[in-house]
Amino acid sequence: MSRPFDPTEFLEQAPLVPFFMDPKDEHVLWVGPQAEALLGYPVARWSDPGFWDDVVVEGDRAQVRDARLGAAASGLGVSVEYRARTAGGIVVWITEVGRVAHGREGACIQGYLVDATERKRREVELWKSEERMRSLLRNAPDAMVLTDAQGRIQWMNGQAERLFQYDKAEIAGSSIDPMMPPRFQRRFAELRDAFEGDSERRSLIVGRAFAIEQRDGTEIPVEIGTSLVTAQDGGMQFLTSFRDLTPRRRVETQVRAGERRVRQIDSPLPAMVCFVDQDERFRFVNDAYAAWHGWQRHQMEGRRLRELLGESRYSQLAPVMSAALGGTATHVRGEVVDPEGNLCPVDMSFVPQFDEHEAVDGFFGVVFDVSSEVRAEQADRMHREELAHVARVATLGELTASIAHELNQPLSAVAANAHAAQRLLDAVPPDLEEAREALKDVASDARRAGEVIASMRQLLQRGKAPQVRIDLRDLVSDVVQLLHSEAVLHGVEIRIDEGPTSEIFIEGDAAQLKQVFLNLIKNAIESTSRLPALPRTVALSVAADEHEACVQVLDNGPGFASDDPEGLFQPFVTRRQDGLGMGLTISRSITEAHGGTVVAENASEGGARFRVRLPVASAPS
Amino acid sequence: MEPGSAFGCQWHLPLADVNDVHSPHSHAKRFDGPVAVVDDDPSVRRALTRLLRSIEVDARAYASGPDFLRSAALHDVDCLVLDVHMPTMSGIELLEEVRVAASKLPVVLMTGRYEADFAHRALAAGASAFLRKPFSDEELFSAISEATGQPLL
Repeated sequence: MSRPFDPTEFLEQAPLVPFFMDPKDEHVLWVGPQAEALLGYPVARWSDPGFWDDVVVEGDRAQVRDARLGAAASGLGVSVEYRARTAGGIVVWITEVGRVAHGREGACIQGYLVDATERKRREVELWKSEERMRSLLRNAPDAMVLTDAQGRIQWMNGQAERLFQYDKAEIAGSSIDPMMPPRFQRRFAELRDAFEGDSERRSLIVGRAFAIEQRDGTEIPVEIGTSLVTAQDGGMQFLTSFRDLTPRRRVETQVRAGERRVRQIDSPLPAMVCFVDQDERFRFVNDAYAAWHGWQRHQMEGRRLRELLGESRYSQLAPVMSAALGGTATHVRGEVVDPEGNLCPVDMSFVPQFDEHEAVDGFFGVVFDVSSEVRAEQADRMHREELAHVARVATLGELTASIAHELNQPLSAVAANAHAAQRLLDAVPPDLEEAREALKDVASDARRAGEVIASMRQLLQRGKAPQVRIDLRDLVSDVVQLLHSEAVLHGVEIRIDEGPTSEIFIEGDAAQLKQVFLNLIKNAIESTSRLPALPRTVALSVAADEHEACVQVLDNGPGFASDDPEGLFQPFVTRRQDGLGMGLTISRSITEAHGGTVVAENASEGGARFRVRLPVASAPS
Repeated sequence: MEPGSAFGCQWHLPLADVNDVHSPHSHAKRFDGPVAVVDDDPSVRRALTRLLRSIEVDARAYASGPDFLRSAALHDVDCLVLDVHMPTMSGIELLEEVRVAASKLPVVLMTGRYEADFAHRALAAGASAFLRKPFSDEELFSAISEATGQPLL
């Protein structure tokens, strides 16, 4: 029985929703009865103004409006996919297709809507499965190469790039056959043919007796497996896996778990990372490591350190490398020659990796280029030294009068003794014994004046002095000598309690350390001199245990205004009207550069107390 | 001779004569001490006493103002040579003490610092003469001569 074709019946029963719409305001003029099933709203609701605003998912709304208005303007029609929310709150995909018709009332879109949710879901599934496949291939332990039916390379994973020593991009489109040693080339091509005659065959494992040839000509024994896969266009493709059968490859397999973790953190890492096996070959380098050496990863991976780094850099690394391969982690700061031949300061850590039998199968090397850090440190040290020097010169400037007096005393004695000696020799009879005594005193006073000059010269010295062993007690008494006249001028007595008689050796820059005590003792003299009453004293003590020496500077002045005198160490903080306020800042920075500390406090017995602690030098070797 | 052993005062009775002398040097008796040298610097003390003894002036050394005052030498010596800058008691303070007990004792002040108004301050404090360190033998002798009104050589 046949019925006449009834288009109305078709329109009302087909799984699509016909509609007429005014494109100017998106007002639905008419919609088929299936509309209710599509979105769950009664047909009458579709004509409400603002219907599309309620229904179309916000992110897609503008796109839908533009498509419809654009259709009206161009007269070409509309084709748009968007998400809409049903009356039940479920989001569905809708495909809208329409054409623009022109009637008496003006332009009208005539079209239909289709539920595209299921198609979209399948698309996503497919995309996900392709993505899963790609990720599977990327992470496969074996080298994987996808070729077309003629053996032209379409794609390879990272493992294949390393195995063959080619970059995926540079080799794409070339034939895979020349990457086999000549004696295997024919057999390899035959693998593909084996699928031709057997429509049931999906995969083929060749087994062990096979090899590939790396870019540098090295032959690597491999196990090969080939599978037939269908391309998107329906054509034949072959996915071939190559399992490296060399012993070092087995080692790599064992460390792969750790290596993979490193790869994951690889790119955002500013460090250079490599993994080196017992064979002293790079099993893995990150991009930073390869770039620093001026290579690409695949050019380094698999090759020996000695061959890649050159003899001089290799011999530099050899001791730490053998320590790491012996199971000892090492951290060193050193300088290495970069590929441009510049010395580059680096921090290097070498961490051995153990296999399940607790044997070392290689080590991770992590190298940080610290040249910018080192440059900053050097600049910082230079500034500190410059500043310290300026401050020393300024301090000595303030002490000019006292130092002149300190020189005048021995010079006066020299003059008087010299005149006395002349007279004693001229006498009749000459008093030879007393003249000799006078000349001995001349010599010793001249020496004393020379010491003042030498001490000043040392303090005026610029730049970095060598680190030397210094008896801390000698150093402090040198400073006290330089400040003797200053103390006398201010009516201040300096007392030194040197504690035990044994020497206290520290190591450092004598001028800078003298500067510390010069600052502290001079400050103490000045603050004590503000006392109206006598006695004004500055008491020094020098003491040490086996690790640490401590010099204490205690005055009986008014002490610090604040209970927390830490602020005094800040730059430009001073208790004096004419002071620059750098003395204590510099003293602290010098002390800290010598591994020590300096603290200030109000002494319980009144007055200010500074304690300088410095590490005691180890016994001379 | 060190403080505490100062008993060499037996032949110098006419202290008043010394203070009263205003005659020109050439006519006066040669001055031969005793002189007290007060300086906190042992080298300077030794050198100055040695120089004075080399021309046979009796010279005694004291390390500080209080040492000198404690020694009771104040009334035994005929001239005082003082350093200005000394701890605990400055030369000026010592001079003030001395002036209370012996208003006319000749005193020579020495300084090792550059002080523009030193001469003025020294004389205002009652010094009879002053010296800037370092000085020659002649300068020392003529300062003592000026203070005592007697030649040394």
